[in-house]
Amino acid sequence: MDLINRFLDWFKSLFWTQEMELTLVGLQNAGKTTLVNTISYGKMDEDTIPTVGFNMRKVSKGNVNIKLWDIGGQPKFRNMWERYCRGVSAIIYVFDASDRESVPTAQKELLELISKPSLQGTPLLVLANKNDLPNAITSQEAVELMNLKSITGREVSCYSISAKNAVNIDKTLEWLIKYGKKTSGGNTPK
Amino acid sequence: MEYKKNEEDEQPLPLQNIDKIQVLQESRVFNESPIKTRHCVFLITKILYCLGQGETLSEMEANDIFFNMIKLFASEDTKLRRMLYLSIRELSSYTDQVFAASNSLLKDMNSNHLTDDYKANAIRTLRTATDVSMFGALDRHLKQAIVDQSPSIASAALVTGLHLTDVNLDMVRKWTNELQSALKSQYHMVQYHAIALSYKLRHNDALAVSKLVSSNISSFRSPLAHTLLIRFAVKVLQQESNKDSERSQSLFKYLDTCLTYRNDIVVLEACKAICKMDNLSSKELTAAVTALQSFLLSNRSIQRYAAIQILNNLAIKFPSLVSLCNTEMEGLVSDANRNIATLAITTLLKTGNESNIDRLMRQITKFMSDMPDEFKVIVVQAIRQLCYKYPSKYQSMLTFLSNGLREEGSYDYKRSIVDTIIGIIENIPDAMENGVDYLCEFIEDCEFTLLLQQVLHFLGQVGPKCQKPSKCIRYVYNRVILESAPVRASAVIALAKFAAHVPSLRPSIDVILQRTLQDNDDEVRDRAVFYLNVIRKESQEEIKKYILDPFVINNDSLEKSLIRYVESAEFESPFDIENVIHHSVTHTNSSSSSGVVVVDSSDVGQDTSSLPITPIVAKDSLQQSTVSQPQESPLSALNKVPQLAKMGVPKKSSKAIALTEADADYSVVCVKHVFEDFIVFQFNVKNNVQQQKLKNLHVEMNVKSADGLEDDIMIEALSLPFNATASTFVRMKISEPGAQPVGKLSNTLMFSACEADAESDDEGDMDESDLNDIKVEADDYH
Repeated sequence: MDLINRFLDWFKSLFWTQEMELTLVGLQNAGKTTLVNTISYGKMDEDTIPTVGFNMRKVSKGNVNIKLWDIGGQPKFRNMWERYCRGVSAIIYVFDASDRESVPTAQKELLELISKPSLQGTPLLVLANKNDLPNAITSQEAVELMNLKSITGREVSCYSISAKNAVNIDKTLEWLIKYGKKTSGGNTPK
Repeated sequence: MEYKKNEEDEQPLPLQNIDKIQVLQESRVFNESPIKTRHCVFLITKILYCLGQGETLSEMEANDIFFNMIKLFASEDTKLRRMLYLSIRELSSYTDQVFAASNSLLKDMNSNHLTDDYKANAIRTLRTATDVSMFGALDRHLKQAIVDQSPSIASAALVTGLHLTDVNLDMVRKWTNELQSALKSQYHMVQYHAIALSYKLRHNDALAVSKLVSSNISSFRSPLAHTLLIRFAVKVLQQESNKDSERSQSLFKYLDTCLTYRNDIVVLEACKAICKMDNLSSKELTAAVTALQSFLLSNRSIQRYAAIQILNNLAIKFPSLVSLCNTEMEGLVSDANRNIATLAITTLLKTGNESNIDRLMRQITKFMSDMPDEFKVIVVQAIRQLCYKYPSKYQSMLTFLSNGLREEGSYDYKRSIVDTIIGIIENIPDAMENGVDYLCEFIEDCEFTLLLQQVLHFLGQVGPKCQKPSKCIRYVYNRVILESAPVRASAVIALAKFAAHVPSLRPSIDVILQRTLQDNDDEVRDRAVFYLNVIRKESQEEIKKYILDPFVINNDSLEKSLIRYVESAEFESPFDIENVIHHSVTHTNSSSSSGVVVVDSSDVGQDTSSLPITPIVAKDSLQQSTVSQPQESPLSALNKVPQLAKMGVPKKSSKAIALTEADADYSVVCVKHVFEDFIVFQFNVKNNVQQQKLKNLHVEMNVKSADGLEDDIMIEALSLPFNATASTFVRMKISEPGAQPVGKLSNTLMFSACEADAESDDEGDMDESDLNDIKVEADDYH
């Protein structure tokens, strides 16, 4: 059976390539650009400069073509986030798990973003990046600190990852491919 | 109907009549996924077209377009990306948000898998998208780009640097090393841009510029870079006061060597540079002229055009030098390219000297018939200038012009000829008889009412002074019989003037006018009645009042008075034209009446509406004749002074204004010549003191209330014997270009007087004499 399924998947992929569009947002220095690099090349580029404006990257995973919009996190770009998030398959919100002081700001910006009517129902994936650093916030803690339970009406998940060491990147992609098809479902934080 | 039909037949342009609002709404297409590349490219074209047509965007509209467009960065299509760059550049002037594209542009610029053109375009766009704070981050990338292998990338970075000098000069200054290697680049374009940037960095420092020029003279291979170097060299040479300094010498030598460069652009640029310099002797110019001479024979019209244009300008100052090329230029006269042909003809006219003018005129006559009218007009204008230069040649020029009058031609062409003939007659008294003959002949067969009226008016003023005024009368009377009503009326006025001036003709004109009383147009009849009555009274005073001394009415003040009358709404008393006339007469006296239209008394006294009043060219030649007239035409006097002659022909020269009583010891009249940036005051001084000789005459002018005029140069008259006239000049600079300063200037005549038979080294006694003030008025400029 498994063989047949895999064959079917392969057969499907010949005819139906899936398009997906994702937007990465989050405060500056959260690791968004690094995450994009890790997703597309599998490794980290040490020499990352602050993103001015946005980065666009295309990645193919299996039969899924992913367009990644990596938006700058400096305060002056934050009012542009919403524009980039309109109509995408999912929003990825990255924050720096090692920098506890920035978490309240991160939480405020997140809630402000997803409260926009235009983004209603868009699946949200919150990533607590930099779990390789000591004293990093775990995913359970993050759910509390980011007040993710209060978010309703959309798919929401939270993972603890490390873009640097490529930890949990596979799980992230899995989630994105699963929910990034605009399936609306219940509130199931992990 | 006809017009509408045509409109339907015409295919509209593909983007004509597109609406901005509609285009903006369409810009949602950008958001669609997958990207419709061709559709998007077309839409961006539409947006750019709208902006190019002068539409503007609000900041919000620009933001909307921009953020929609950003999605297109996902496509790797070359065309689409290029359009994106273009639109970002355009949008950058409407919104700051485009800096959001900085990162993508920076990525494109450093990308390894994109083509060079892509990267070059990204660099150029980056400058418009980023704000000042980004330049620090850009620095490294731009420096790298300057030394890039690809010429297009290096050029793009250099041009960006050129723009950045305006906002961040210090950063660009530090690129010296990269610039040095770019100067040595094997690519012409890179060298060209590198030299431009190097110059921009040190253009305030003459020494550095000259070093830049001299150090690169030998190493450059790019012709474009050389043309720039030539321009820089010229700037250095212009600033250099000492023409013989080593630096000037070497720079000039460089220009000379460029004349033998194997690239035409460089040679032409060098010729242009050399010919433009104002401190060169004709010997130093010879090489350039020789080089240009060979271009005249080139088979590429652009080269012929460039060469003839340079020569045309040079011919004003160095006619004899340019005349070396006469043979070649005569070949160009029949050039297929009309611009070249016209320039060749006008240059030939400028180079013509007294001896060969006749030959030239004959030659031009041959091909005049093949030229379209607008070029003929240019030729006629050139002849007009030539005539002022060589008044003695008026005979052949008049013949030439009269031939033009006989040919078929447009109104503009005929008018320029008539104006020129009138100008010649006014400036060269000897030309009067012939000129009047030609004009008489012309009106026998002329289809243009306005021209007919103009000529008739002129004949009325000048004709009576001819040796045989009766000769003219026949032509004028023919008009009364043959032409349309407006022309007939003008002819009647002219006849009346003949009668007024020449009493012996009065009986015959009386007869003619009596016949005119039967005319079927009331305008003509009214005039005839009016003039008949005046002439029959035989009272010189009334004739003078109603025919010779024309009413001077200022249209402006007439309009103002009429408006005032209507606005006051007091219609019990009729509108009194005397007030206007009185007012405008005083006005005219103070302004020496230039620019005021002279109208015949009959026109004012009676219905003025139906008769178009001819714009009068010979405005107040009557008045002028009462003032002691300068012995020669003012312009030819101007042309004799080298400093003033090279200024060309003035925009306007005023009539002579007397600054003293005509019988004063030293009578002075002044003529104002207005140029683009200068006013030249020409003082014609006449010595009326027997036994006395004046030396070193000049006029000291004091700017009383004419702000905006500065003393410039003064040209003395060296000596003035008894009963002779000499000219001295003062040139004032108009400080602000384009300004038209007005006001009063006070004048003092300074001279030293000595005995008429004194030794030539007798200095005489310094003396001075006050003159009346001169007014400069707005009229003088138009």
